[in-house]
Amino acid sequence: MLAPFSSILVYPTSYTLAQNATDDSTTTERIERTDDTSTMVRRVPDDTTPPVITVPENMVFEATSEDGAQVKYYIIADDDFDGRATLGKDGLHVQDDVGGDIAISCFPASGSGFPIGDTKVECMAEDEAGNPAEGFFTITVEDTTGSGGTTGSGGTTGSGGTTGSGGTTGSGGTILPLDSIVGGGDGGTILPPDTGWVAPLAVLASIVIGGIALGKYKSSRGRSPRIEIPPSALVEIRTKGGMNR
Amino acid sequence: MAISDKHYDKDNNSIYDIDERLSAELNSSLSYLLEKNEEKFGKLKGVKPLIDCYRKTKEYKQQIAEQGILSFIVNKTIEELLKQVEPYYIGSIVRNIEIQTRIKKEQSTVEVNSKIDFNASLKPYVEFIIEVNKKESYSVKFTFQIETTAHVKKLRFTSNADEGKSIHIERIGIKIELSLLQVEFSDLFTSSTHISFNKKMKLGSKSFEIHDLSLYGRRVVSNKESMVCAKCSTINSLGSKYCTNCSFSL
Repeated sequence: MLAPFSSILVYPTSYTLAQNATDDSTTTERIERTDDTSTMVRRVPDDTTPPVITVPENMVFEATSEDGAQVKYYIIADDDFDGRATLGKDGLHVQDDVGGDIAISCFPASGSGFPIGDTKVECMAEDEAGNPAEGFFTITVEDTTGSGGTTGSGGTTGSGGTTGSGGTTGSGGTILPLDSIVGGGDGGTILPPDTGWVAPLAVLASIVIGGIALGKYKSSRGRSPRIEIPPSALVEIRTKGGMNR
Repeated sequence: MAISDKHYDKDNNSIYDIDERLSAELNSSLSYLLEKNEEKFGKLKGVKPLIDCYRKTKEYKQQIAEQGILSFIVNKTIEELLKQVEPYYIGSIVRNIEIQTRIKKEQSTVEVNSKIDFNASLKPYVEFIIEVNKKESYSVKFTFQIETTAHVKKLRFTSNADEGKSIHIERIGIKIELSLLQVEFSDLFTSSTHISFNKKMKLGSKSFEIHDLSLYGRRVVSNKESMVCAKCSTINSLGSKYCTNCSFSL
């Protein structure tokens, strides 16, 4: 029989929370109550850790013209939730299948012309949860010959690398402080060591208008759509508004 | 016959100019509601490609990096929302006042002491169009909903040849509730669309009250439409952005 309403007593229940990390991605919480029962709850914590961005060491190049030199580089970002993303030297963004996406961008972009002197390259990475990371390195372009370029027969020097046809920047020869160089159509594609290099996923459209590549839009498995834009492209954004009736 | 049969000109601008305090209050309310949701806004899937693209613009290096890319996008959104919303607010106020008071055009001055309540629902959108090498390539479109409840207390309507039409409101209280309805990413070349968000996300509500608010009708002179400066009453030609006398924004 139920007790009369007036005789119901409510005892405050106290809890203690214990957290046991079981592995890198999950946490176990043990909720212990004062009545000697306990519940184990396994939960996936929020991603609050920014990705780790790996940028090249500071680099020195010989000028190929009086304007400086074109320099290409690559960036890697690793995240405990979203795996690894690589921004290749040609601006190609490659993301593995782990978790969400990691956005990477650098300024000046790989493939840009760098003037004679020191240029600080600023790179940013952001994981799917929006945690940002930054990395910096310096590219120095020197003109030791005074003529804007050294002569070279296409040799590229790297530890353990093979040479492509024509050297990395075509003319002038370039010193690359990289571990792995693989021959390619444009004179060698630089692959970072141990990247788990994968092919681009689900490219829906490759936009070419009047012979000018405008970019690629990629959408895969419900993730954020990603726009891949060549480093040398001019990007402008304008806003407009309206009213839906 | 009511004050006017239409509340917008051919460009959808209100035919009334309004006390700039309404604009300031709307701006403040939209800023408050969007800025407090900035983090949530930044995590939307459609915002990420936009952030990536902004980082590739000249603007990013020149100004955005300093204030934060997300703040920049939010500010742009507020700016566009305000441009869309303000004329409709004026239209809504005028329309509801005239419907509920049935003021006759021929009456030169009318005072209404009763309280007028009305609701309005607007669905403004803000679109970011990304141009790559001068070609419109992608767009990210945010559609919002603004629910408004308002009450007007004591108004005076004046219409005469010298001063034109005007409405003076002793007190107006407005409550706006802002929600995000949809985020749509479009590839403009292939016409493919990716809707990354499609539900009503309430961003919050905000109320404000303005005392002694004035709306000034734009005058028609000799069959040629002109705009009267709300600040100094100078007549400016239609299409002018600023008053020729005092540089006030028309």
